[in-house]
Amino acid sequence: MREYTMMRWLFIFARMAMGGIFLLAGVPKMLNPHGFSEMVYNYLILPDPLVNIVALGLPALEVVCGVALVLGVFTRGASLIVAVLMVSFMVAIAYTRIIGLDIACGCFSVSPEDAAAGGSAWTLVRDATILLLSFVVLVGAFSKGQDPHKL
Amino acid sequence: MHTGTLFQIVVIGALSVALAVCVNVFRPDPLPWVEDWTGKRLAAYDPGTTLAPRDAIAAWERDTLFVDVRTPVQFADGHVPNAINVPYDPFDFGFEAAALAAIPRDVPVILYCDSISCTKSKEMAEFLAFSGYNNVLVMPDGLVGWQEADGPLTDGAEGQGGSAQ
Repeated sequence: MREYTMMRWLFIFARMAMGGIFLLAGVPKMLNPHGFSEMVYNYLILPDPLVNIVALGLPALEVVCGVALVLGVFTRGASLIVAVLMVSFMVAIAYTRIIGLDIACGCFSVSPEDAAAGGSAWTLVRDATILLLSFVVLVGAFSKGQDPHKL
Repeated sequence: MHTGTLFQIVVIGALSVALAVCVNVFRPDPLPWVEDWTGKRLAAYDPGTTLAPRDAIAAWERDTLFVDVRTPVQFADGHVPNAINVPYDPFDFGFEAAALAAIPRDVPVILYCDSISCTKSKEMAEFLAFSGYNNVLVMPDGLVGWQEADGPLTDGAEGQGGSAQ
């Protein structure tokens, strides 16, 4: 029986939490790609031909990474992708604040009622917290103590 | 990067593409993979009621009245010089009376909000047309398009609430 240290439990908790967060974020967007594509377009970051590709691909990536993190498979790859995604999301939200867009975030929901959350300082604080968590997951996944027999 | 990590990233990417394609193909209402978004947004406006930023700048140089329908906070951060701020907020009970009082009927007005992302100026134009205004134009590209076309900006809160011009 393997002896788990406090740190190891922390890493496992962070990994499962992060996986859960990405599943919560990915599934609603996957169920409503039409609504989500509107939100992707509203950020005015991507050229028109890429909007729907991202609106269809990003939720799938979030779901696959979420499942991987919850199950504890492919954790190195998933944690790296998740950290990069979090940084990209924060850059996108900060960009909307800089150019003065008042748009829905499209972070966890595709409902227009979420409009007030878009680009707000609260969204940035929330994402910074999740980003911090993703770094914990990253460190856990790449630390030597990670189950060597797991993928 | 560790080879195993790269392999994991490739597998996760491939699985995501497969999942995205499968879910979209089997949806009753699949999303087209490529769409002309800007064209689609512009098509939502009544033909003849919109102005490109470049034409809006020319109108501004001829002292046309601009109405900024964004929030007072956004207005204070920067707006078209001499514009008045009449926030579009259909959930505010006083909104209709305030808008009708602030926006003159006898001169042409140009409405704008953030960008092509935002529908407030379009909705305000529809409300004004319904209220009998027939001199209302919209700049769908909003303040983002205005700045991209090198239109001038002023900050500060003068013109707030449509009280000054």
